[in-house]
Amino acid sequence: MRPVLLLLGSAGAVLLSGPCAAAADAAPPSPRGQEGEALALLATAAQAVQERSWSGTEYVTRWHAGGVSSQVLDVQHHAGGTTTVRASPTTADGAEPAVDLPRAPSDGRLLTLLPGHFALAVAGRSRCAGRTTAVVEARRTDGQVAGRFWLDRDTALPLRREVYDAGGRLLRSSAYVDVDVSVPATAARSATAPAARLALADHVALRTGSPAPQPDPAAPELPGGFTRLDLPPQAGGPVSSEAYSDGLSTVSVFRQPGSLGAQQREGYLPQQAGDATVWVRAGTPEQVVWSGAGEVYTVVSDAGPEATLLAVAALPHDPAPEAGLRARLGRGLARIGSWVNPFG
Amino acid sequence: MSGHLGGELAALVDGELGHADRERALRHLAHCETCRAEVDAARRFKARLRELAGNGPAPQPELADRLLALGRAAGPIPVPPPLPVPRAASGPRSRTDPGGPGRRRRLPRTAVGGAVLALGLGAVLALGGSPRPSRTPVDPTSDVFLDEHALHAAELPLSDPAVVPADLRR
Repeated sequence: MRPVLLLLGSAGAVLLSGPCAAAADAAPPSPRGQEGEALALLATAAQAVQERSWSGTEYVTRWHAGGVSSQVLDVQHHAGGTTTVRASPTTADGAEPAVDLPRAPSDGRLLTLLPGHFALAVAGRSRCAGRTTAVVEARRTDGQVAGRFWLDRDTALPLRREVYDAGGRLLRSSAYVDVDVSVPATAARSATAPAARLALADHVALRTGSPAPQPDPAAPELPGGFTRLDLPPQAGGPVSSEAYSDGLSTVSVFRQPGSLGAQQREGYLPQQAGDATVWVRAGTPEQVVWSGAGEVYTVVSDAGPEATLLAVAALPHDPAPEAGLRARLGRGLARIGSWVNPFG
Repeated sequence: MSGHLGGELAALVDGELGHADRERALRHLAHCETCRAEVDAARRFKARLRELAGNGPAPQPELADRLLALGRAAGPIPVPPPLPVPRAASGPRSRTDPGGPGRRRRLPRTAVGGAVLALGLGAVLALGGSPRPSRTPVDPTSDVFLDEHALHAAELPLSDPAVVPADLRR
């Protein structure tokens, strides 16, 4: 455990002053006219992620309503295939928890989300993991920094990322402590996306046996500038899912027929989203659940607590139960009426 | 389970609990005499209502207003006026002694009527304590949604491994 703690500590220090220099050390921002150059760099980076293989050690930190958490990840990416992310340290039983992230074919339309929501600029040059990088900044309309990318000058691979909320607070930061881009390209591994989508469908179908909700015209946008992604349809099942993004963060919305049970949800706390009460589990990503219009909603979001609640408030909610003696009497009588009425 | 069934009691009697909640409630009933008695009473009450009502109409809205008026009254439950007593049923002793045994027999009736009304009001209020779940309860907190979100985030061209849940699985 001790070497791991040392690694975490040294990696944290690295983020501040090590091989990845902060953006403040970079050259002054380029004029707005250079947005095209910034977008070209990002497009090259997206292409490089598809075509190159690499491995490295990445230090990630996430800030959320419940505090801050950091992790050291061993990342191995196969050109055109999946990215395997393995957590350090290993668990107590010696297992190495890992997850495979599929790398979808480069979709140029998704890259347009960034210039569609933010002003892009090349902020200068810096160094990360011993390599020279170009720093690309994404700023909101009020001038606040929303995200930064450190792109390797030689390979264009993103070696460091930072994402900020609308208030300018850091939401998450990830940076390679070391990286090896000489890993030979291998055949693309089978993507895990279809299996995972099937698992989601099976998961709820087994428990509810309910038909899938009818596809409806989901909102094209959620407040905060989150645009609905055009994802491939899922395998059949009772869960409907949509994803929204601004190019930096993602809000996933899942719906399933039913009602929110009365049982306690461990780790979830009630919170107000507009006029409605929802159940929130802090973290990165954050999870929010509630019921509305005969369906149960689960929102998973890495956009930060404020942006997430703003988006959640815009989705359907059941009205809060009417308080007062008359409403309570009415509910009680309706329930008795349902006992009496054989067709109720 | 800590405490008693509370609001779940009515849902259990109505057969509206999901499988897991029902199992949990039944486990609780196995060792909680108080809740068991309440469930028995509620079931008897429901059965009795069905017997009485047959295919009769649902409760009239006026009943709610009358019960509400009772609930608003801050003082003791009003005692209904005494019913007129048929002359044939009243013996000579009633005429000569209005405070005698005949009046003593009516007092318990009004008390019982008031108690029944109070119990009925209490039962209606208890049953109306929480909105009735309209559909099958589901658990929306599964980690499967985290996995799916990671896949959504990975669709972005420059997605960030930091959005992967901290407790990696598989």
